[in-house]
Amino acid sequence: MAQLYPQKNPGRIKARRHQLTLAKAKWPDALPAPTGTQTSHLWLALHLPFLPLEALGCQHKNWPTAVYTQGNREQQIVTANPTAQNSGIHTNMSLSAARALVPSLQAIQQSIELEKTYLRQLAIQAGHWTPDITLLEDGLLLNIAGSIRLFGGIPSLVDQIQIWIFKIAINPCIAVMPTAASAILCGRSGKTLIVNSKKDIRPAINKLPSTHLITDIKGRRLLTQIGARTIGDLLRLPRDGLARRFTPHLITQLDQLVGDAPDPQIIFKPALKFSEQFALDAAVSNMTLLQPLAYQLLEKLCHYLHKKHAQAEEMQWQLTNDRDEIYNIPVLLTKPNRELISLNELSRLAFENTQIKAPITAIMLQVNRFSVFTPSSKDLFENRTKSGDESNSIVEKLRNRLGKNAVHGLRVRADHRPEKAWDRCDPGQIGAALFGGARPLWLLETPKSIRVSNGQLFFGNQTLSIQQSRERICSGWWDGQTVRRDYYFAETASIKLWIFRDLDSGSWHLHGIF
Amino acid sequence: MTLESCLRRQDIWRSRKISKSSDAVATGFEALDHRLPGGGWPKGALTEILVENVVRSPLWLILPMLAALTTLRSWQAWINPPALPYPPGLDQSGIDLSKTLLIETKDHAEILWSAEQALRSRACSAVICWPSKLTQTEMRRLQLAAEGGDTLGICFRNETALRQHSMATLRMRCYELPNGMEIDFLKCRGGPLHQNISIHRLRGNTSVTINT
Repeated sequence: MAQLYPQKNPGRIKARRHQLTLAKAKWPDALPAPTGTQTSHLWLALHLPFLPLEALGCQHKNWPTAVYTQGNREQQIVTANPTAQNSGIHTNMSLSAARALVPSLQAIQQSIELEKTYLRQLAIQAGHWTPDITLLEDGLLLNIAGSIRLFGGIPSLVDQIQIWIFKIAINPCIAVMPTAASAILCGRSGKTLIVNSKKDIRPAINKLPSTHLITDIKGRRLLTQIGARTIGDLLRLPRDGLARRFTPHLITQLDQLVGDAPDPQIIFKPALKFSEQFALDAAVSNMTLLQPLAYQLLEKLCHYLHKKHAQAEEMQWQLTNDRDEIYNIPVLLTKPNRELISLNELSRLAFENTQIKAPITAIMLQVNRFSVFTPSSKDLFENRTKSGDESNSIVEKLRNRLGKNAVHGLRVRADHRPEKAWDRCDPGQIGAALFGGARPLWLLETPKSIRVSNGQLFFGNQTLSIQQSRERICSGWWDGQTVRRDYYFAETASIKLWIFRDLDSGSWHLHGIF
Repeated sequence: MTLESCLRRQDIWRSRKISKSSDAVATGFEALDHRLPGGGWPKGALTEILVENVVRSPLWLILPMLAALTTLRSWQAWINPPALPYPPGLDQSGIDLSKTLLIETKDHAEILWSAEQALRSRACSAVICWPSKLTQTEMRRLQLAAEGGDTLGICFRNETALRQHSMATLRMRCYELPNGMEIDFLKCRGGPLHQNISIHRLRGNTSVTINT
């Protein structure tokens, strides 16, 4: 907000005059271009003057169309298409006035939400040229500094962007400037230009009307009062006086225009999501016939992953049959992947594992979780692939074909009860340290009772001789699976067994084989 | 194809010539090492061990080999064991459990498929499987997979398979003895047949007698 010059305290005025001279010294006419910033930032502002119309999908060029917004008192025109403009309709006109002027006017209410969505879609498309994209209210801001060489120089890059945007937008404006603020300003002023050095910013923006920077009514009135009609006028004025009359923020804005103040931008990062599907013309009942289609979808996925510098972490197929039943076929990946060949192989195995009841009519590929792709350096002279890759790929392969629950690792658990002293785990995991006496190599998951006759233990028809050493295991009272047993080593004529006597019932059981 | 390249094939068996190839892994039992051509379990080949009852497959016979191979590759696959190979027991025998891959399949086709994949993958140092039945073609497929992946394959089978012709490089039948095992060599590429040896399993070491 404009602050009025304080009249009462002359002492303070004096002090301010002193500051004023300092401020003058700070704005030399030709700024030395700082090295480095010139190459890391070159901003391309894409201004879409008819964005509200385009976002609503109004493509009728020959019919007067306008977008209005609900103001405080009346409905106001936001944008009118060229046909409507020719009939005299302009921005900020009230809707009733416009209707009076052109009775056939097609008026649609503005939707900020749709505009945002539309801009997001454009930003995703513009991601072809640079990943540094900022969404503006009325367009996009692209940092093209990193893409200049790739696309054959600034003119060629701007040409490509122009060809693309002219196909989809009405009278778009492209401005390339070394600072973000000046690019946006030029774009909004409809000034198509390319400036790539900082010292040329001032000549380029000097003539632009200052009302582009100051939008509130009070400020604009003040502008006309002091006679600062252009940005150049504002830049020439003493800084602290400007700060006092307008807002301190204006100084920052001016600094940002010429590149004296940092102007960080919020980069648009589209959420990674991949979901593609094919509807089949004729239903397919043979899974192998789906392979070529699956391959095409995977090709699309890999293309997407390469573009996004990402890897798939969780991937699944969805097959729909003619009864509208859906089969979800997850592809189990032990590590993030983006190789077409291996993804195709894993998908094939996962398909083999699936039984379908009715012919398939649609196939869909979804990736829900992504991870950043970090390329690993490979040895120039190493022909063999790294054994880590192989070991992961065999587990992946087996799991996709046999199911996740068919492939496990084994580990020792810290529990005294023999049947709980181990568990299945993900391959490669390390278990607890071992304790206790000698353990058998085979364990019967359910102990087998041993026949006792005349004080002798029998294994089949063979008598068992028991060694004297005994291991008592009493444990598990806390989870209701109490074990109170005495374990012994026993031998038949040919094999060595691990047996126990239940201390509660006194019965004998076979638990392991050495 | 020249004669040399033909003779270099793993599945060409030249009798009388005991190959002293280094492609063998010591069994950990002196008598067995001495008796086997190459001085141990043949690597890159399938070994078939016939036992009276597969539930009592003599794991102790192959454990020293598994322990020796641990560092070689990432995994050691156990495919469809008839009972649980007990992790604490394996651990005590020097097996690295973090390299163990337990594969439990639904049917015979899956056993064969996973055994072939594991043998061929070059990610497993050893593959131990318990197929219920095995035709000659299936056996040959596994043998070729073991050669292709240079992987040591062990196949425990019930002795009812005795009459069947085998494609394995080494085929032996085990009889349980008190505290040991008598081994009859049914097929042994590059070594004499039917000269039984018995191996004694003692705590920590083994003693051996040779019968002819």
